[in-house]
Amino acid sequence: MTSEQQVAQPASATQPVSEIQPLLEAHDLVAGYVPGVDILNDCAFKLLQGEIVGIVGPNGAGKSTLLKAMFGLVDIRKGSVSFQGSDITGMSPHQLVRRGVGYVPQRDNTFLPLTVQENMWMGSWVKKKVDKELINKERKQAIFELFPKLRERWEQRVFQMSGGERQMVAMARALIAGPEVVLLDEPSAGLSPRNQAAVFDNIVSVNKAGVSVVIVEQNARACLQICNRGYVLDQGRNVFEGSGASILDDEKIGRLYLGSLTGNVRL
Amino acid sequence: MDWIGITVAALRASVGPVAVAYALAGLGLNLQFGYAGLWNYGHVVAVAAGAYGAAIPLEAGATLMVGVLCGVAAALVVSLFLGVAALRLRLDYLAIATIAFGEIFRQVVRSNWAEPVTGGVFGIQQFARDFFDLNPISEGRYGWGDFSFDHRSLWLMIVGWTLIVIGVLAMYMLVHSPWGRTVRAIREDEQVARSLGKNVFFVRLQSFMIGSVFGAFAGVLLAFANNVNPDFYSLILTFWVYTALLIGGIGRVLGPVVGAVVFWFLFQWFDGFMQSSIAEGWYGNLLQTTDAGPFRFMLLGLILVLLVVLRPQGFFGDKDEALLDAS
Repeated sequence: MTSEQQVAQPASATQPVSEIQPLLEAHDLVAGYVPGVDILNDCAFKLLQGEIVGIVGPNGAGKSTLLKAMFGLVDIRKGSVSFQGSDITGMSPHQLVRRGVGYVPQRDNTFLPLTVQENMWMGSWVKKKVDKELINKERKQAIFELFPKLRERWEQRVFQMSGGERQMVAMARALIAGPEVVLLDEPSAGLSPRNQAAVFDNIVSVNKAGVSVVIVEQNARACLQICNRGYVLDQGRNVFEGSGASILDDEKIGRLYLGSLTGNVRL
Repeated sequence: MDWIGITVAALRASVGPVAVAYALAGLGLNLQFGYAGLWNYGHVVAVAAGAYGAAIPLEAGATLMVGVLCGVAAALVVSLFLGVAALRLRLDYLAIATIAFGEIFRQVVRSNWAEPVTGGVFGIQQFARDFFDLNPISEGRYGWGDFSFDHRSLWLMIVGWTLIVIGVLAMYMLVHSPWGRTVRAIREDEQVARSLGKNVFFVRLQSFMIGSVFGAFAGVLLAFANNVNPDFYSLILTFWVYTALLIGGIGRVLGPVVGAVVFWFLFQWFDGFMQSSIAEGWYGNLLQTTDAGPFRFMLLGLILVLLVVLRPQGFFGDKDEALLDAS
């Protein structure tokens, strides 16, 4: 079964995108790291409930910066971000995690000396009370259903695991807090083709479990195959926006931004 | 050569009041450096703040309890100030800032300007009467042969080892709590911890201040044992505590306690050995008895280098954690 066939049906499948209240939305974002140098220039983004949305583009386009700006890891100089209708511009990551936004950083995104279980606890302890009980029951079960391999690796330290398994841990850890949306920064970076395919399959499963997903990917073609919609960024601006399939089918976009391959590539 | 005499003297030092204070200071440093990964080279500030914070009100006539609480409060205030100013720095700059702060603190308390309060270069003496008045042990020496302590040292040791037991239990609970896991996780990867919604700066500040409380108790104990002398709180004290910590093993609750005991045993043993061997003319005219002091530092340094190369995790350290950066 290809990942394309597994994609859940989000709200956007039945109604036009412009008519639905977005889950996560960014308007006219300007952001950057060094004073005076803007990486994002009036960038816009929208995610609807239940969607998988991909952000692709060449190196240095500002894909990861857009994700970080929405998650409060990069200062926003202009523009606004809203989540579930309320303004979250400039909020810090710890506030956003409590509101239901999860984030999985690019590579090296697990605590290597900690066990899988301890990594999960790190993800769960975001509220005043310890959610240990919760992990032991429902969510732990849900995580095992999504990532069966983690059941056997539960007590193992993460530095003994492969890159693909570490990515699994990072994703599971973001999910254990029960987020509405997860932001994934290059989840397939540095992985073998087989592990990359597994990661994209996992993302589809996560989405089917009810979590909306934003993916930033270098591996644009594979990513767009599982996306309901996608954004193409270049030099911090939106240059194209449309369904995953429409971006893949657009010859010009494909040639300019997605590499020389044409047509859909099976995972 | 009196091998037994040297060894017994070393054993006495290894469990004595100063070793106890080092163990307490090491417990705090282990939280900051071992668990939180904060390169604090100004731990001596917490120890000195504890000592001065207790000595100044006690000398002015405060009760013992008020004095001790003032010592802890002084360390908390100083570490809050240093933490807010320095914990936003990258770790190597944090090391430089804390070293500088340690020296600034010592220069301020020993200055003429501060003399009316801190006693300047003379320090503060004769303020621990209330503490020793509580001593239930009657005057005399206790122990076996040369391995004996006077009633004052014994009282300091009883209080100190009790504090260590309480400190070790508190530290065990702290580092095994969700908070402790967060502290370790931030040490491993600040960005990932932030992505999971951890307030990195706040957790670091907490661990820095809690570590300083242990340093403060060490300072109070040292002040009771040796009075307060500003030049005792120089940079070298921080590095001795680090050495003890590395011997015992970083990132293990009992590491600093074992480390302090072993450190003081080795330190005293080498001192005794060098003194005796020089006095017996082992090295001819090459070494004088005054050379014994520097020599023990050299030998300790050698042990430290060998330890870091051959057993970087120390006696009790966690090898997987100690070597992780290399994997």
